[in-house]
Amino acid sequence: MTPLLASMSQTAIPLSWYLAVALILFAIGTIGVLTRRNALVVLMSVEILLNAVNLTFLAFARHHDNMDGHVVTFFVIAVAAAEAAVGLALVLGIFRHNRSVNVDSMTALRN
Amino acid sequence: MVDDLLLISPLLIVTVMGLVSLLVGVFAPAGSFKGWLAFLTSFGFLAALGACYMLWHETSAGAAFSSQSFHYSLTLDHFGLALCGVILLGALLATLTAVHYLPAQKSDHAEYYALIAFSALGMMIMVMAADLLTLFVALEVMSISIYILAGFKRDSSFSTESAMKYFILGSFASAILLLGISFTYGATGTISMREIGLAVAGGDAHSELALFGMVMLIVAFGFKIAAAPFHMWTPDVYEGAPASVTGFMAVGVKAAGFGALARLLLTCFGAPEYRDGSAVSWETLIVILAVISMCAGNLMALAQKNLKRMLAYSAIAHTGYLLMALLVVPASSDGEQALNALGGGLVFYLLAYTLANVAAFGVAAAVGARGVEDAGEEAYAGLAGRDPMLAFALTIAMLSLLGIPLTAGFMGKLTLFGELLSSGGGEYLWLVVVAVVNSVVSAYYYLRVVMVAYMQDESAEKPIALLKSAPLRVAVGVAAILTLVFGIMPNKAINASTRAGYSLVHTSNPATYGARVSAAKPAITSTVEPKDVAHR
Amino acid sequence: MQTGNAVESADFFTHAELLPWIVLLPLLGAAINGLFGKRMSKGAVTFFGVGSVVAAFVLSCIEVSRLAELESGALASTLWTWFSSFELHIDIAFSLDQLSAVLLLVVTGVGSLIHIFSIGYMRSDEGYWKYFSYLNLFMFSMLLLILGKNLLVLFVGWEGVGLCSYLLIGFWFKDMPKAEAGQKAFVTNRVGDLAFLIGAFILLFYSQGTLDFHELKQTAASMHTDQPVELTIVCLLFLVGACGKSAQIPLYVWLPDAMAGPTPVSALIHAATMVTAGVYLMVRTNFMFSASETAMTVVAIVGAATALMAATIALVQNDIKKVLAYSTVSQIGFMVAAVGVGGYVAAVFHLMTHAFFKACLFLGAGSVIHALHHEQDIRKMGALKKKLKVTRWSFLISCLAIAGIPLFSGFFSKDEILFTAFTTSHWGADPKMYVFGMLLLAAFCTAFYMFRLYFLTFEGEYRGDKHTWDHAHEETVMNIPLMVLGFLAAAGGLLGLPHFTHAHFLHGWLQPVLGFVKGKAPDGTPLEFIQVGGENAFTYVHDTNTELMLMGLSVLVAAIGILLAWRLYKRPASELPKAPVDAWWHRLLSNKYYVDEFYDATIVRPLRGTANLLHKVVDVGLIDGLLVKGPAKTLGKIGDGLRMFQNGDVQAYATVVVVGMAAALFFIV
Repeated sequence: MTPLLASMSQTAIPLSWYLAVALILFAIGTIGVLTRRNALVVLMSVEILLNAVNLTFLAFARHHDNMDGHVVTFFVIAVAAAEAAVGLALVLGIFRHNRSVNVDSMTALRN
Repeated sequence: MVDDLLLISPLLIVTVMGLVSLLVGVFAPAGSFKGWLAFLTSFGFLAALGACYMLWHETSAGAAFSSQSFHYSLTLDHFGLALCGVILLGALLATLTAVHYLPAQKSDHAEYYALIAFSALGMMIMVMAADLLTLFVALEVMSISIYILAGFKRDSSFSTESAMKYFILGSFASAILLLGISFTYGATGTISMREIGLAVAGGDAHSELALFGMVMLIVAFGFKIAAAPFHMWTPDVYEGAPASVTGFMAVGVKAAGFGALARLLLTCFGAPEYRDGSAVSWETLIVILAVISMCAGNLMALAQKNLKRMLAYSAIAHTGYLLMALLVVPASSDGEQALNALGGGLVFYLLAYTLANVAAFGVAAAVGARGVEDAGEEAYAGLAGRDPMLAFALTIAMLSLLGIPLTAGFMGKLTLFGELLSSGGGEYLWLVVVAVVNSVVSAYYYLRVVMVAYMQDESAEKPIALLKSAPLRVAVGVAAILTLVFGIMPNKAINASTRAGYSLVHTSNPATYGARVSAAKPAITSTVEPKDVAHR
Repeated sequence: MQTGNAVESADFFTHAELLPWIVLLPLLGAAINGLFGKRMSKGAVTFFGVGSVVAAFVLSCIEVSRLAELESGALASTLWTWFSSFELHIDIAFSLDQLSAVLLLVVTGVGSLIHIFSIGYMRSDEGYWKYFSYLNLFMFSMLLLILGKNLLVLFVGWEGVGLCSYLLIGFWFKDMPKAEAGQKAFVTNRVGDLAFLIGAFILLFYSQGTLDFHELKQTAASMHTDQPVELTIVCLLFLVGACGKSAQIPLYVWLPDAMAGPTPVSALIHAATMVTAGVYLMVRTNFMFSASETAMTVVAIVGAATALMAATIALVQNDIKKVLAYSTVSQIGFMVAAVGVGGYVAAVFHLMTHAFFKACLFLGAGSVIHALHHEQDIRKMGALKKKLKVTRWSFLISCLAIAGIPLFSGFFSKDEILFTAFTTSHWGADPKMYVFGMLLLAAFCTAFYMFRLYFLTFEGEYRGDKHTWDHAHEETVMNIPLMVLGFLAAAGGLLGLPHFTHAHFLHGWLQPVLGFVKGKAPDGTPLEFIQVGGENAFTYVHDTNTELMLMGLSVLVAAIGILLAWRLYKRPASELPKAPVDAWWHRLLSNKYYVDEFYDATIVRPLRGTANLLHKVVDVGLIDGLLVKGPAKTLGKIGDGLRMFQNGDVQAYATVVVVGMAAALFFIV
């Protein structure tokens, strides 16, 4: 590591700040998943969750000064894209049956 | 390099078969019968099983193949191979049940078989994964394929709804899993399970973060294996998904989830302060999950009339029993005995569970194929009169799930409970008693199925045609016969399972793997001989 | 430790290659009939179904004669290692010692006769092949139970007989009440099995991984000194298991209901074989029971109370099979009480004679029911001695045997139980006189209700419709088993002549299993002991005067019972006592009934049915409602509560996940 980079990491924002932001994002995402009625918004909330996690990975990667976290983040982004594709297809399927994308319209299966 | 590829040949075979059936499917005319692809994929599964068998004999007991080529991302030990075998067996039989079931559901698309292959691939990598990134990617490969499979009956609102529910909850669980991975990474600075284990055991890890990570990982896997209270998706998804898919995911996801969870907990958090009875140990958490799962699953199954839904609750109850297997390691004292622990309970129980469920869901596919959406009670009432063979297989499956002697399920329970008793110094006697009481309660609903199949008349107003399918009958028959075989002469299978459990304990223990990681020697490295586990 | 045992076992047991075939033959019969029976002719079904059991009987005779020639030890055969991992090592293995030999001959012998009887009884049933398939499967399980070398093989048979009984009771399954009776039997049995299983697991924990009976002896001895409480718990759990299988208080309710099945099934399963499995289990593990005084007292009380209670209920029954069912419960109560006072030989002896006379009674009842076109109400019978000659004579002999008239088999076995209860002390305590008193009273009731049954059925005037009377007849194929069993019921007692004759064959035969030690009291009376860990657990007094005195007493009691029945029921139809309310003994029952009415009013009013019979209230109301259906309902309610969460809303599910995770985090961190 060059001296320049080393000095930068000393003066950079502390790890806990990144974690705090990430956890706030995670909480927002969770609340979104739990409360929003529109399936599309729920999907977006899931994306927020994943990005919150990405942030923690990057923060930890900088903290530990190794590449593992960066690699994981790339994979998470790729997987999130695949998930989104499947999710949107399913939303379309739900819309074909229910004429609505509301999550609370999906209660045919119960008890 | 070629050696390395041979080491992962089961994975490669399944991948190639998935790709081939995807490609071939593209050229098959739309609307034509795609069932023949099932035979292609089944052949692939069979070949992969053969490869697993060969690798099993290549590896000396307790050691693992360790290859630099994959950057230590896979642990190829007996445990992984054994669970791959269970997964492949389940996939093979479940694929055969789909051949004529899908056309009857008007969902005969070639992609089905490719997706089955890919999700089986994900499951197999899960049980072999040696770092958390591989684990995550494998889990997603499995999950995403299964989301699609659950919604494969596109014309059915039930199927689509179950897929959507599974997807939302599943991706939420994935986020929790990632957060757990992230915290664990943050606590130790690595994503390699062994290095995490070393850091945790050496006290180099940030303990609060590591604990957070551990709990989140357990929660995420608890979701996948349907442990209460993270089980809520199970009944809805099991009921809504096509029966052939439910059969596959009931057995495959459970085997993969348990395999990965066992390896994860033992490798990463095997240090005593994380696993032994104290308030901050996973042992305590697993005990709680086990008790809640078996009680909740059994209680809620009592009132179910739909076969698939009842089996979903039964799956939750069985998760409870299976979780007990994870306690064998922490329960045994350190040193010699700890090295030999885990034993055959987990793997053998999963095998028994797989066979019984494949048979039961196969029957559910046969009776629910036409006219009715699902396998309600009227669908299989009087089955014995219409099709004695299916009724008999269903009976065997129910008796095995219930744990009646001479079925594999009984031997599974006996092994599991017996091991927990003998390794824990009686500490878990109460838990075994709870489990036995639960399995007696389960007689109410398992036998109800048998009674309805044998003693009720089929409903007069809407007679339901049975699915005529030779492959399905073969799959169900083989599963039922194997259930009996493993119940009557289980010793070889139990010995193999014990070997598998032994190898996991070895490959996950810092004391035995530390040297090997640094040796960086490709191909086969074998250092430790088994401490007479298999034969006493 | 285990290696040592294994070596010793190898010395103790002599290899017997025919042993597995005794078990496997009925399984083969079941498989052939089950798989191909639908397409085979009736003759072929009969050949495989009956032939396999008769062949098993022949093989049994050969093996038992080999056993008799052995100087010491027992016969055994190990098929394969069932299970070997960790500390556990369990084989699929059979052993034949003197105890299992008695049971083996009774089960295969009586079983063969009942199979032959079934040829006639089931001839016109469309499920003929299925019936024989189930019956053979039952024989297979029962033989596993008897010949199992370890507790686990025994348990396989134990579960198997329960399962077959479930299938056979619900045999005419078009009939929903019958299917439900089958399920009731299975569920009640499961309660017993649960206790048995937990007991076995606890035992496994203390026995260092073996469940072999031969090796468990040492475990019992060591537990007696080190873990007496645990040993008592295991014994009590086994007792609950036995109560389920052998229909003892409080789990006896299923047996009377089980009469819904075909009558030969009742004879085989619910009289001669399966219901005695609990008694067999307790005698088989006598080394454990002998060591625990508390457990033995409970066993004795349960047995005696069941014997007396079931006998009083039988007094007022009008269904021919229900009388016999309660009689069976009562007689098994005698056996359990015998075990409870240490009379293992007496219990096995009575088990054997009971198998003869009760099977004969049931088959006789079957013959009557068959002749009268499925009429089971004894109030519509009478004077059948004119039509059913063989049935009548064999029935009379069996009634004399069960009542305890001298020289008939039941006399000897019942007397031995009474004698043991009167004189035997356990760990130095006084003999359990209350057990003796209860059993004597039960013996009186037995004599009365059996002859009430006999007189109402075979003597007096016929009270049914004329058409049925004209068609009533016997069948030869059904008569042969009746004659054989009648002979056995008369002569079977010769195997256990009273002790003062010194010709008690069974006592000497079972000596290797029970290990009596001889001794003498200070006044010269011969004594015998059963020892646990070198100490005298049981002390038996072989005093000739007491034995003769008790014999006279029990004959007197039986004679009074028979004469009373004679006076009341051997009359023309018009003079029969209408409702027995004016009889003094019925008042007694009625008084007891007020107590039950109190329970009824406070606890089970909604379940109360017609209010005239004792069994209705206790059976259907208390036991069935509280013990059988109660838990199921409660559990169902809890399940319903849980299912409220399962409302189909995916976000509610996610919330539960989050709450669960939060709880886990909170708990751990």
